[in-house]
Formats: sequence, structure tokens, C-alpha cells
Amino acid sequence: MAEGQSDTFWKSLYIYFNEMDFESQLFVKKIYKIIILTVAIISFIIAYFLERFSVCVYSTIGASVLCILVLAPAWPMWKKNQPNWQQANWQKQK
Amino acid sequence: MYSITARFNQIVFFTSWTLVVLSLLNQGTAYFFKTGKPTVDLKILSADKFHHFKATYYNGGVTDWDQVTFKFSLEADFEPVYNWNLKQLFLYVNVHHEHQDKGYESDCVIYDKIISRPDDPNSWSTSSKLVLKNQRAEYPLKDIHKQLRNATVNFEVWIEVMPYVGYIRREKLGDFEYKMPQQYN
Repeated sequence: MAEGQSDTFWKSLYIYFNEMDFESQLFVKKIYKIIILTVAIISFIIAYFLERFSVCVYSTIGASVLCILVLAPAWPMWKKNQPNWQQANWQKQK
Repeated sequence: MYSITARFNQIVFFTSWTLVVLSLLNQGTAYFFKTGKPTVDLKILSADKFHHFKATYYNGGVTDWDQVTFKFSLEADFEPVYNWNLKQLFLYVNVHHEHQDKGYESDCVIYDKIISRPDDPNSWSTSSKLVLKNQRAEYPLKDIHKQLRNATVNFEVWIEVMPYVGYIRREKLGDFEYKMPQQYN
């Protein structure tokens, strides 16, 4: 009995972080490219004048980790525009 | 973008692609702006311990060869090779000698040194010039055919350029001739 209950806990946690509504999906799809590209270009220019390429690589990887933590899981801020589902109408099936 | 694994996947591989493009730009700008040839000067100071050696194996076999240890002084300036893509240089001194009538040629490395970037905290020096005075060679020159007396050998100074991103290339910096002594000393 206890195993079944912990299974549904992890499963429901996964489902919670998995579902994101459609408008924020479009937003996330645009914004991660913008963030990573601007960080990469600016840090490349800074690294060129400092003569250290490691600055560019570390900052790009750091920006991608930040994007993964904020944009990949479905936090409550990405669940604000839920679609309007229709009411289930059981009587029509008769 | 409909599931967490899809979003994670897209972000990770987009980052990988940007890093690939940045690495290519890194290598490209380095080659574009700075490809020069360093200057080097090598002087052989002495050829020491030039003997005929003999060794006996435990099973009774005997082998003998000529062996010589050199002392030299080397001056070089690596400023034309430095760019932001350079990680370290590997400098080595190679001895090349040929015998036309016997029909063989041989290469032997007698000295090598790793030269890191000048702004590295653990670097050997803060300038781009290398000055070695009265340096003893690390490895002796051996000839199993015992033809080193009165021979003309060629000292070549090579450099191996190791970048952060890119392929490793070898460059020969100079050729210096030297005549070996006539007798063993």
C-alpha cells in the first residue's frame, strides 16, 4: 500500500512540472534563444579583449543552466493562461 | 515545448551548437590575425662524454654504440606565435644525421621543454623570450652504427603549437650544422 502511494506522489510531481499552457510555451520557445545568444555574443566580445576564451564558455554554460532552471519546469508563472475547457456533457452520450 | 524533457533537450543542444560556433570563431580569429614565425638561435657549446659504450645482457649477448651528451645555449622569441587561442608550446631540439654510403638516416630528440602562456599563474616566465645558457641536453645522442666520429650532424629546433580549440601543428624553426670531434674524448 505504501509503495503505491509514493508512486503516485512522484508521478503527480512529474505531471505538475510537465504541464505548461500554450502561450507560455511560445514565450519560452522564443526567449531561451534570445537569452543564450545575447550572453554568448557579449561574452565573446569581452573575452576577445581580455584574451581569455574561458570567460565566454563559462558564461554561456551558466546562462544555459539558468535557462534550464527557470524555463524548463512548469513553475506557477507558466501556468497562468489555462485554456477554457468545455464542460463534460455526459447526457449527450445517450 | 510540450513536455519538460522536450524543453530541456532544446535548451541543452542549442547551447552546444552556440559553443561549437564560438569555438570555430575563436580558432578563425586567431589564425586570421597572428601567424608569424619565431626567431631562434642555437649554439652548441660542447660535446661531452663522447665514448664508445658497451653493454652485456643477462643472457650473454653484447651490444655497443657511440654516445655523446651535448651542452648548448638557446635564445628564442615566441611573440609572433602568441594569440588568445594558444594554450602552450612544446619546444624540442632534434638531431638529424645521415650517412649516404651506409644508407641510413636517424633522428634523435635531445632536449624538450613545455612553454606555457606568460599570463598563466604557474608559468615559467612572464615574458615571451626564452634564454637558456649552458644547458645540458636531457637525452644523449646514441648511434648503434658507431659512425659519429667526424660526422656532420644537423640540429633542428622544432615547436609544437597546442591551441585551446583547433588542430595541433608542428613547425621547424631553424637548422644548425655541427661537426663532431674526430676522436673519442
